[in-house]
Amino acid sequence: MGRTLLLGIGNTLRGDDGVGSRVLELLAAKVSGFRLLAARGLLPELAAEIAQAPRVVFVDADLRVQSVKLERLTQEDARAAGHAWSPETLVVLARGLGFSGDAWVCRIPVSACGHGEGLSEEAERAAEEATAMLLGTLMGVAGR
Amino acid sequence: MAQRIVIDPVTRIEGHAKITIDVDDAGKVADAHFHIVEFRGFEKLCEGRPIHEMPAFMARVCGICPVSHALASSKAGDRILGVDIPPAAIRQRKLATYAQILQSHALSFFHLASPDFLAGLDADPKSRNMFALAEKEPDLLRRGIRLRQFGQRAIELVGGKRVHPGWSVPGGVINAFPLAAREELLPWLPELNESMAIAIARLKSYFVPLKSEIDAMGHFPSLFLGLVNEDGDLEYYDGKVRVVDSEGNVVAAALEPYRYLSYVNEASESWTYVKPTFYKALGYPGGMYRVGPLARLNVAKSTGTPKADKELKEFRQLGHSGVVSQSFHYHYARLIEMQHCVERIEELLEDKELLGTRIRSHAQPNHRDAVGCTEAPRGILWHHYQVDELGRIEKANLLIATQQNNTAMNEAVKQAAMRFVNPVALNEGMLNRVEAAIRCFDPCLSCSTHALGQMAMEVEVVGPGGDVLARLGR
Repeated sequence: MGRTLLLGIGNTLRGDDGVGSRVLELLAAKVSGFRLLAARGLLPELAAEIAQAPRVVFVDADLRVQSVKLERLTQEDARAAGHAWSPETLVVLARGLGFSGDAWVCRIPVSACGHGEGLSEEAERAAEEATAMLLGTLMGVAGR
Repeated sequence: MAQRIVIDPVTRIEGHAKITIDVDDAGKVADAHFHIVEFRGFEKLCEGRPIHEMPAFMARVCGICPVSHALASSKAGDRILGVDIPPAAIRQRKLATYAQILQSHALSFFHLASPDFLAGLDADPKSRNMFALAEKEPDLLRRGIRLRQFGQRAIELVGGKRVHPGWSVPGGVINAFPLAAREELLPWLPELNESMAIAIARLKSYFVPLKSEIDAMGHFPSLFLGLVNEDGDLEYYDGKVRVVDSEGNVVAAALEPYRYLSYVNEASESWTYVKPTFYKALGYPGGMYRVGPLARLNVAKSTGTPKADKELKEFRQLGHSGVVSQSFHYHYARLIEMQHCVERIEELLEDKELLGTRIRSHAQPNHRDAVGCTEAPRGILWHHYQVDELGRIEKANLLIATQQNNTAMNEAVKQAAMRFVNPVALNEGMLNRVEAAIRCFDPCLSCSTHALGQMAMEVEVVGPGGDVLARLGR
């Protein structure tokens, strides 16, 4: 079985939206036991990547949360699939391709997703907090 | 006119569109139209942009075929500069073209169209999508996903990004192709060849059960138009334009792409934002022609690669005088082209010129008017620019595949509606057959989005007074 897959979602040209990629950078500097993959958006071929992993964590900016949240994905739903893919729909597709592990979402609070590169100070702090939370939660899990 | 049936939006195509079916007083289908309801205005946005920026900018036209737009734009830029580009750059551009056709066709066939065959045209829409296929046909779907994954990865390795790569510029490209990229891609090829053989065999197994649909979902005579190389074989990147008719007659053997305005023209209709294109000599709408995979295989003498040529022989048996007029067989042609692309990619990866480091010719603008032409996944694509003395765009004209297929798509919708739709006893399977006629062409409407089978769809039967007589939703 492969390593836990962490998908950093977001566009680095849209400010804080790129925080997922930043978390992957911070993780890469600290550990080597995870498979880290940055994606500007969710695409169906990512289901094939997920299917090869024992576990997937979507790391994404979220304008709706006030603090970093690491949650198990409980609703896997294909009905919402349309022009935009979500972690929920992608996991449904991955299940069909053999994925039997658990899926998590790390939601990172952000506020500035306008045009431009670089994170706000708040998003940078949240990225560090998310990195610590991911390491704390995932480091002890067998099969990482 | 007594009634009008509206399918809005059309699902599992690239972008937004709707279909209206007009019903006469006798309750029979009288006419049908395929409306493209988006407006993007890219040609106007080009004005004032420097020619060197255009390929990266034009890649943004489409999220599915950005390479084609970037290359048509680059080729127009090559001509504005008046330079021949280095052999390594030509090979890189060709590799990206094959990779893009492979990934785009994989998306069209496996993700969007195949649920119609594998689940059935009358199946519940909830089970007629790629999620249901993931449960029923996981191996086939996995192969489809990996074909697209390979194509996207190859584009990324050539152009720096999977979507909207900006590496191709007037005069060549900006990065040499690394040896490590070649080593990464080569091991994929046996699996890709195996997947294509499986997919082609699977599609052919539906030809008999779907005979009535194949005969009535866009089966009509038309012209076919596409690029061929100097031997008359299938060509995507360069070459001359060949036109044939449904009887196999060569209408034009080798037209110069840059003289496109002398043989094609654009019309306009009040009911669509697309400007339908026609072959000038026959006028509008009599000069209807089809482009894309079906047309390319109809105009080419051969594909030039052994596995695809073997399949091409069988393909020709489906038509008249070797020309296949059933739009359903766009799907078959698409798979043959995917096989061809796998073979061509292998050839290019074995070609040492691909790794060359002289990749760009430099010059100031030397011409004020130029046309770039290439074959995009859905058909021939023209970019025509006029620039000022500094190379800034004064006027741009883009002629894309979907608009060239628009008149034929209308005919396909009308034919399918007349054959399959009973307005007094509508059901979802009837309407899906009308949609499936459109999916044969794989139209790319917004060029940046794609819809799956779970989108809301509503069909209304509207009376003469505008009152809704019946409504079907999903």
